Amino acid sequence: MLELSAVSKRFRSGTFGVQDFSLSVPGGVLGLLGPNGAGKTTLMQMIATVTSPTAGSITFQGHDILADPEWLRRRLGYLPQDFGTYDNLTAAEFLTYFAALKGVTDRSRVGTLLEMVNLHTVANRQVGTFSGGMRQRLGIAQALINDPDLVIVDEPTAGLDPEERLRFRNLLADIGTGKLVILSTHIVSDIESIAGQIAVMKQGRLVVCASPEELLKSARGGVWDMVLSSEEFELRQGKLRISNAVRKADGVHVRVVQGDSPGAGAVAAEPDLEDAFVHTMNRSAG
Amino acid sequence: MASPIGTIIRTDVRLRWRRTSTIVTLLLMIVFAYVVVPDFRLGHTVMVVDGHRAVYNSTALALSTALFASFFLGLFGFYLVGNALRRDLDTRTGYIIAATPIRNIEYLGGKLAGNIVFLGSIVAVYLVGVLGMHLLRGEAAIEPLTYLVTYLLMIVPSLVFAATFALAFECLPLLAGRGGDILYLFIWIVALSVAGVVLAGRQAEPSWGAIALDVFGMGTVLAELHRQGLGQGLGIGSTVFDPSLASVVVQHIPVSFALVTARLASALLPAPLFLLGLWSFHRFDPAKARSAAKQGGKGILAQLDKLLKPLTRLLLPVAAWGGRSRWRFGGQIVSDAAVTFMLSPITLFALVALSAWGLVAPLGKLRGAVLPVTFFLLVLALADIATRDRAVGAGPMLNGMPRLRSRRALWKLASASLVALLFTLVPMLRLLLSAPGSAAALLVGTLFTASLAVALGAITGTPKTFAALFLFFLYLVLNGGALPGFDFAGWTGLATPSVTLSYLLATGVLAAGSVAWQRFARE
Repeated sequence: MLELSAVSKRFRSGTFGVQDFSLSVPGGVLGLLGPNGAGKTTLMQMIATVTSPTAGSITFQGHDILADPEWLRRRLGYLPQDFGTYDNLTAAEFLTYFAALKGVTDRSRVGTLLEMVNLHTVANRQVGTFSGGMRQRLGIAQALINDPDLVIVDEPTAGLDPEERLRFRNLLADIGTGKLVILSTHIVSDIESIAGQIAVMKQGRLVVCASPEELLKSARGGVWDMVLSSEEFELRQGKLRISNAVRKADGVHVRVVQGDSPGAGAVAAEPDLEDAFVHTMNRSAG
Repeated sequence: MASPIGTIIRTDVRLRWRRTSTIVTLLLMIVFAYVVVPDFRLGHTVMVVDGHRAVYNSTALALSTALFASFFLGLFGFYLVGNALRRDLDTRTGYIIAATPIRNIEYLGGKLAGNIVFLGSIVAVYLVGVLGMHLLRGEAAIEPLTYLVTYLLMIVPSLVFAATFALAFECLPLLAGRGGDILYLFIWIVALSVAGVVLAGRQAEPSWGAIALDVFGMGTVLAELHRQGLGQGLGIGSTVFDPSLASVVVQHIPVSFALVTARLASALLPAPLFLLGLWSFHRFDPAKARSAAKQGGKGILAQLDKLLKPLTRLLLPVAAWGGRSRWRFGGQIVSDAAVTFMLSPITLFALVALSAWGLVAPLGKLRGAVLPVTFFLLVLALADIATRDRAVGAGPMLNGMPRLRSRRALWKLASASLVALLFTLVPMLRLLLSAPGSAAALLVGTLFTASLAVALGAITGTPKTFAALFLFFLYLVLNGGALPGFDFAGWTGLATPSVTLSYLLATGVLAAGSVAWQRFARE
């Protein structure tokens, strides 16, 4: 169980990265969703003990991790955003390095993890020659090398092609069994199939934390499909809260997320998680 | 699995050994060994004591070459290993390290040891070169133990000194940057002088404490030569000797307990600095360390830059004019020069201040003060012109600009030359009226400096190489004032036409080297 209580991070400039954030997560995969600049990375860095909150408390399995960060670090796997590598090391050398830093004594873990992320055939190739997806898989292998109880991955699918994203998503879903995985993203499809809970953040604050089903339920009755002519679309797009728009031969097919019917021709639609996210952000905007 | 410290050392050394710049450094060390131990039959020798040539035996060769390496690695070692933490910060692996259970003392201890082992490996390659030269030119059998003991006693404190300062400066926010790079040169000079001061007049029997303070070993060697009755005037490294004087034989140095402990104490001298670094280590906390990576750091110079940033608004029209210029390449050069000042407002401030000083200073002051200060400040202005695009990942973007890819080196050479010429313009015009020869030398010296900055930056990929070598060069220039060869930029008025021509030739070679390297790197 991870518990955050009234956690805030105020920078020297006076601005808040995270403000009064409280949350309890029992286990499984927690998707942390929010637009760029919402404070996801700062929150994850605080949970990962990389930086300290200026207020509040964080406990994991009952331990105060601010008072004893070492305790958590022995149980933590962390993959930061824009994670880089030492290009001159081979994949095996890179993992061996981090295994040693994490105090892993089992020599076979490096091979096991490389196999798990499907990099065992390139174990002795220099990381500088890897594609973005291969680097990310190496990154997750590094995060898992110490068999952690808590795994934190920050925007892990950014820059990956669709195939790699799917592969990475499946990998995280497998890891999520028996561990607590926190995965931050601003791409809803990255978490919709694997997250048991989704925490939506905006401007450093927690907007809502709920299961995908609950989020979908909350958006039900507030999503509409309609077809507009190009002229109509140009006129109304600033006034409607549109989650998706596709130009077709018969006009612009728009998906509108708002409480009331947006007008004649609008048909109530079953929301997907993307709609639910837009709905939540709309609600928080008042 | 190995211990964390052992793994950090191994990984750091491995990473460094796989860099092209390390291969270049190692090759240079071999060349260095060749140059330092010349063929005495051709009039130069490795060690001269009061004009007498020391016979090429193991003690003389080991002492002189070790002392030489101690000086040089004591200085350049700082710049060679000065990115141990920066690398982890730039690759963001530092955040992962921060989230591991490794303790700060283990991590920094591993980094320090990695620095020392890496520098030690460079010394080992150099020693192999020296032994090769002994085989070729020696006058007595090789005694491996003599070499080993001498090198350990002479060089270890020097390596520890450079490695500790490099790591501690990276940990101390105010010194983690170009300001720290410049400061270290002065620390090195002071450390050299301290030994001389402490040992002055006591060469016969220096105290244990005096030897301990003599980090680079100069005083210790002098004292030993004095004890053997060989004199006190020491010259090392390809030095001219008087062939009419009899050669002298340097005997074994008695390795006493006092000597060993004193040198050990020398090696431990910088320990408090390591503790200070440990205390102020940011452990990659983005609230403390991110600005160092993204915003140019929290060093003294970075703070001044922030303070002076509003000044650079004046340059926006200049940069914009660069874009509108009909001569596109000229516009690109002007824009890059303008960006140099925008990125480092302190250099713009320095340019204005130095130009004003150059206008009002008497001619003597212009040569003796304004010009030396100008060239010291050029280190700040020019060091990263050739490396900054790659450092921030803007290289591929710039390659997409019209015709810039094929002219990259020329563009940087022209931009650096323009920046440097702006700094020396006022003194140059004043010298033109009173001493045209010196004005010509200043013009050539300015272009030489710019070319050196671009060539070294392009080839080694780091601004530190230029900063280290050029600062050392300036140190030599300031200390060799009476020699025309050192008047590279008309400071003393001693530069002869052939000296100026030589520097012009060197400028051409450096410029051609930059262009050739760019082509090689592109392919």
